[in-house]
This record gives sequence, C-alpha cells and structure tokens, in this order.
Amino acid sequence: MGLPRYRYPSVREDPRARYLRRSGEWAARTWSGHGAVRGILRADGRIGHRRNLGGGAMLVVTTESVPGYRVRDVKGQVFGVVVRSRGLGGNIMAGLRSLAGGEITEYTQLLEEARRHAVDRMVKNATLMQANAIVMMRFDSAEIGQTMSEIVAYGTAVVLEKANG
Amino acid sequence: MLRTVVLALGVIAIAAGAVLVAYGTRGPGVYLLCVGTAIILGTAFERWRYHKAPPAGASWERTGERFEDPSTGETTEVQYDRASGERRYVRTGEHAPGK
Repeated sequence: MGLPRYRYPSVREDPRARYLRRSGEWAARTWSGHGAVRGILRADGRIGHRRNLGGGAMLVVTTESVPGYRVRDVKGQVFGVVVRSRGLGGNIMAGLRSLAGGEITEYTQLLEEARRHAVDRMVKNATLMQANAIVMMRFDSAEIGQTMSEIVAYGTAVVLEKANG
Repeated sequence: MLRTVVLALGVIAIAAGAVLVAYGTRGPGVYLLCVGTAIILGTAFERWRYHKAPPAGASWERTGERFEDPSTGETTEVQYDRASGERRYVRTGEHAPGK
C-alpha cells in the first residue's frame, strides 16, 4: 500500500519553497492547497516521501544493484554483530550428540538464532541511518573461546528509488 | 530426550557427591556436588532462544521474507516495524513440503 500520488508544486515553481538540509540529505518545504509540505527533495524538484522510495520494508539483498531501482544515496557501511553461546547444558547435549554423529541440532539452532539477531541489529542500524535498503549484504563468523559463536552481518546502507522507465 | 539424560546425569552427580561427603570423602564429594549443580542449572535455565519484547505501538508489515525454522520445521515469516526498525519472526503454522 503506497501513499497517494503527490500533486504538490515543484520547488522550481513555488517561490515560497525552502531547502532544508536534513540528516545529510536534501529536503525541501513547499506549499500545497492543504498547507506546508515537507519531505525529501526528488530529482525532479518535487517533494517525495521516504516510504515511496523503497516500495516496502527495509530491503536486504546480497547483490550490488536491485532491478528496477537505482541508488539515490549511499549512507555508508552498516553492520550487526552478536556473540551467542549455547550454554553449559546445550554444549553437553551437543557433545553427547556428536558421539553418534549427524546433525548437531543444538548448534544449528544457535547459529540460526545468531543469524536472526545479527540481521535484526543490522536492519535497525540501517533504519537509524535513514536508509531504505541494504545492498551487498554479507555474513562473517568466528569462534570465541570454543563455546561462543560470533556472527557479523554487514552491508552498505543505501536509499533506493524507482528507476525511471 | 537428550535434555532429560543430561539432567539425570546432573542428579546422579549430586547424589554421588552427597554420598561421598557423607562418608567423609569431602574433596571429590564437593567437586561432584558442584558439577552436578552446574549441569542442572545450566540445562534447566538455558536461554538459547533469541527473543525480545516488541516495541510499544509497533505497526508490523510483511517483508516477504520467509524461511523454514530448523528447530520446529515451521515456516516463519519476518515482519518489520518501519518506525523503530525492529523485526519480528512469526510462525505461520505451515510446514514446508516434505516435512
């Protein structure tokens, strides 16, 4: 569900328009028949809203580009890091299970939870940076003290907008 | 099942430790008591599940991200709160084909 299409005057047409510098990106204020309108300054001089740029929730992709979209602004690197442990009981159970072989479900669960936690933190950090997408997302992992697992999710926070044509 | 076995091992260690202490073998007895207690506490209060309280007044929307939870086999859906940037994982109750 998108916002209604904007019919607000362009900053080039509105003599009362004011440019605003907000969080590292250009925004502007113009006046419509309903009063003042503030928002992100689009390339065509009209006011846009961030919700219209990404077309949905925070998009996380492992590719450099997204078909149908172009990168309007690069916010910088973004990451989410977490170190988790399965605990004494889980490690004992995993040790016993490894005697028989097969999948060690305790550690599968540990890594699955760590993955979610790291991605959640990365998305939250990207939201704080006012990005609407993360491109080139990668995972990295390491072991700390033999019983703790470190997972890092990282990527580049960007602002995407629909490509014209 | 395996969890019960580990808890039983802890109980056995505590029982053996108590017997040793009762018969005057204090050093190994106390050691077994400590190990048994640690095993039981570590297993009973294990918190491996990642869970967090949702922010108040969150407005959740679907992201389209779905995956099979390896621990339950259920399809899990990811939802996102645009205002806070929080994500949450909702079980759909469906099972992936072949499960």
